[in-house]
Amino acid sequence: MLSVDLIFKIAGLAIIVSVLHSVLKQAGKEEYAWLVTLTGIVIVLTLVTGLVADFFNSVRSTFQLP
Amino acid sequence: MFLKLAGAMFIVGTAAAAGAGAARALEEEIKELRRLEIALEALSSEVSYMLRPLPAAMIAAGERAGGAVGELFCLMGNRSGISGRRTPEDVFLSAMEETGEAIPRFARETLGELVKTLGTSGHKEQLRYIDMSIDRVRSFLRSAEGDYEKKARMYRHLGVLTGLAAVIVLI
Amino acid sequence: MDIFQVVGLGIVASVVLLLVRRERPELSLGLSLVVGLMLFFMILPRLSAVIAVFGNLAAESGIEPLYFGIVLKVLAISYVADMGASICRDAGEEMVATRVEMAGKILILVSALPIVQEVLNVIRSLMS
Repeated sequence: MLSVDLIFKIAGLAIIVSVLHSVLKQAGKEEYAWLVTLTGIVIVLTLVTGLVADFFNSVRSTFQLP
Repeated sequence: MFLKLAGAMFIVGTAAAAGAGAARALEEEIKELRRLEIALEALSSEVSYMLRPLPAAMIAAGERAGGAVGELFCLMGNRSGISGRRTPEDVFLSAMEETGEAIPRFARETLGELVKTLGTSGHKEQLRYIDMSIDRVRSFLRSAEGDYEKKARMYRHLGVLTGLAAVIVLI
Repeated sequence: MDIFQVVGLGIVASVVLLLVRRERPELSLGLSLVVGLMLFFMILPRLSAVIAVFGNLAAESGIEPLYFGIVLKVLAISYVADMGASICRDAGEEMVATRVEMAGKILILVSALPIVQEVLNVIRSLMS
């Protein structure tokens, strides 16, 4: 079983990104707020991509596919 | 585990300190602008009563204001006292080179405009120019105060949150 | 008991997702994907045990190993395609989800072609 840490990591990242977004928006820096959101998406996507690759590999080995 | 926790706290602390430093720099800027207002007011009253020559008036205004702006005024007063026939603009530029780092840009520009007219025109004209500069500084302060406060708060939040995000990504 | 772990993870993840989805829907997508993959990884060892048993049964009953391989491949394609399609549907992209499902169906059809051919051959030999 993989660690459940990743779930909480992404959840914490999402909460911090949303707070950062609202802080930046309140200060009138909309473009930076958008940039922060984009960075969050990229980080989460990087984290998820490894897991998806793991998923594909384990499906391949479980179903004895070449 | 302990090492991880210590590292996380270190990162958050560093980021929060950086944010607080940026916020403090902003607040310092506002303070310098307030000092500029005080110094200009003092200079205006000195010039209007004509009790002392301009260099002495500048030193008095600088001592009233304090801070980086006060230092600049004192230096300007001293310089123009010593070297007799230098124009106020020259004196201002040389004093800026010496102690000008902490002066906000708006103060620099306003003073640069003001010293061009200082000591060159008549008494009434000078007073009018000084009062005009005071008005400009005041209106800028009024518009900047709330804005700067908001910005300082943003920097503080930004520091802590960036530290937390870095910790979450790195752990 | 694995079921407690699975249900516990599901409940915790649902609560966390409820919190995240309101603020950042785009990040909640990655989170739900991770949760789905976690649940899959939890249950994967059991699935491979089942597959091993069926493989033994197939070998004992004398079915050609090629056909059993095809069945496994079809299963794998359907699982992966379902996962991808449901993620796309979660993001609100109905069109992309439908295309992913269609691609899965076509790939299943392609991998099942040898079986279809074999069935047709059997029918022809019965008729003649």
